[in-house]
Amino acid sequence: MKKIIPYELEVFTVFLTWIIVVTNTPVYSQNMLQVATKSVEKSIGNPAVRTLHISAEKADIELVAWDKPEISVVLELSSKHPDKATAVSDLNKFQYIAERSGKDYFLRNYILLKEGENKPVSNLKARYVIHLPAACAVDVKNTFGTILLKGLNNNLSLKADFCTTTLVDIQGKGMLATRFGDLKGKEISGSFSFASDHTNLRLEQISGAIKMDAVYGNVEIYPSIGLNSLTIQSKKAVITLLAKNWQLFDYNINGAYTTMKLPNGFKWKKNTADFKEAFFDRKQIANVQINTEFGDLTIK
Amino acid sequence: MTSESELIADCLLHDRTAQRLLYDRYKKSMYTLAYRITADFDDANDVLQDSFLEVFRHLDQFRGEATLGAWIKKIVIRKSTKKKRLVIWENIEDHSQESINWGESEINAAHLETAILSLPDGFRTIFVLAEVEGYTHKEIAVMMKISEGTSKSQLFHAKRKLRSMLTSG
Amino acid sequence: MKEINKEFLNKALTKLNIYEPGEQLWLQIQDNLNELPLQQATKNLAEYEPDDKIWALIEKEWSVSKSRKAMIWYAAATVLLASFLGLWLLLPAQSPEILISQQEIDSRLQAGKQAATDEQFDTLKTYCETETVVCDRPDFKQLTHEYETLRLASQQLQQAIGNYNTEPDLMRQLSALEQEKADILNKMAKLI
Repeated sequence: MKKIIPYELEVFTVFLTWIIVVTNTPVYSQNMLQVATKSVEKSIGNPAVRTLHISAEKADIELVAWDKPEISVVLELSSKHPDKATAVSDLNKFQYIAERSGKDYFLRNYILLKEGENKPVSNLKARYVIHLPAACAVDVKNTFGTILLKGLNNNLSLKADFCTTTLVDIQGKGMLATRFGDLKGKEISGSFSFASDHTNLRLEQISGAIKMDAVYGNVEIYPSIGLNSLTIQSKKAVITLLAKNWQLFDYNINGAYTTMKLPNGFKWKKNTADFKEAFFDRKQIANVQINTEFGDLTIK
Repeated sequence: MTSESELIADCLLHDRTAQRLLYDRYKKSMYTLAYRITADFDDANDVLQDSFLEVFRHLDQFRGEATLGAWIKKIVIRKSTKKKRLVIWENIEDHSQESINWGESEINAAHLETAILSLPDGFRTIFVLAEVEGYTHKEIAVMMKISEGTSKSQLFHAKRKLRSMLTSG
Repeated sequence: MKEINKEFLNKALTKLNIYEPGEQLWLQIQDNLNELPLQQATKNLAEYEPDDKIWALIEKEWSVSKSRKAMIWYAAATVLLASFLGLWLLLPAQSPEILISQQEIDSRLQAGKQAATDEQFDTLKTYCETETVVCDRPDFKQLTHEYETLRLASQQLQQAIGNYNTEPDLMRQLSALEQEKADILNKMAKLI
């Protein structure tokens, strides 16, 4: 007797196996990411917030001043993975805090793992879009993301590691510390301290009293007429000061093991291969004090 | 100079001059401590105000087990860490075999100050308490409600990060 | 943990700034201290006892309107309960809604495996185990230290980039770091 049953059984077994495998294998394209996103919107009104604190990781942060008294926050958390279920599951591990404490408001994103849960494998990202009164003080910390600050005129505290930071029309006073990444500032006016480590800094139209402590990295400064004092402490950084009317400031330059290029007009107190001291003194109100170790200094 | 016990006695009588004297005696060190932990002048202002109000409200509870300054300092530390909503996760690692070299030359104090203020909140707090204020890990563990091992681990990480920020010349 | 040359740290710690609060802080403390007696006094305010006649009046008033009020309360409770039930059935879950979209993976934005620079650096370090004359020079040691700083930064960046990166800025930073590492390696190679 012909044994057709075993053959059909074999075919059926293969077919059944295929069905089981296909239905149990996560079906996703390796070229497409499934992006799971959750958003929160908040409007923070009375009583007015004195300082907004943002403690973020892997976030894109935009803080733009407006003329309304309240603060508007849109916080978007996203998780990207080729598998939708994984993206959603990792998104649930991505949490935030948005709460007031007295006159301060705190925003923070973080990863929360319940007992036994694995670390997320998706690409997690937070995005903060915030509009706030210009006079609201701001304290921002972020890593591996971008930061935009625009139109603020009060106390500013910034700590940015591996971030691309942009400051536009910033007044008042502040302390900005960066590690790696880039910082571009335009129209900065007031009393500001920059502490940069391996950061590329570019500051245009800066005025007021500026202090800078740069370790490695490139620093380009374009001062404006309103600059009262600029103090730069540099270790192995490449410093370039570009000003059409550089003669509007008095200068005191001290360099150890630094390559210096200064315009004509500077007088030298010391000019050896390793140690240089130069000054430019016209009894101006505005002065520039630069101390460098290694690295380069160019004024033009 | 008024003795500590005389000062306390007058403060308990709500003598405003005595209270001002006590405040002036400790304001700099406590403000500096608050600023180092919070890394923010506004927060330090709030902490100092709250701390001294608590000092004057509860001065009758000061039993003299430690100096008045030490008692006030504990209040300032508690208020400062609360202000920063500081949470230190238990994380005990063994760093006994590791070493940190602080370089071949003097460390610039201004650079050190900037570097300390740039540390993450948890690292900075433990570093300030241990290296600036001189608390033992046992004392820090009680204050911060963590284990001694975590305090040691946090201090190691703080120092390692500080060292990397203070590259020697 | 062993600390070498810790005296440099200790010395710098003694030279740290001391900060002073503004004068207005004492004024604020003083204002609060001035209010303390009032706050204390409000806690100790006297309690007064009402006349018994007042309770009799209240009781009388209450029994007249009790039945009417009861009807109103029962009606209100029913309406409230029905509203809550309706809302509970209709309202979505409290946590934010999760939206799903798609994004194409750009292979150019994905971090590769260990950089060639690191392999070359490791080769140099092996060389330095036997050839110590150059490798013990301060400038060579400084370059080594700087390379290791950049290498650590690069590792941190790679970790942040992770899998499925979509941020060009992070890759730009990584490329710049790799370039700096390559520059340092070239300088080190020239010294050997």
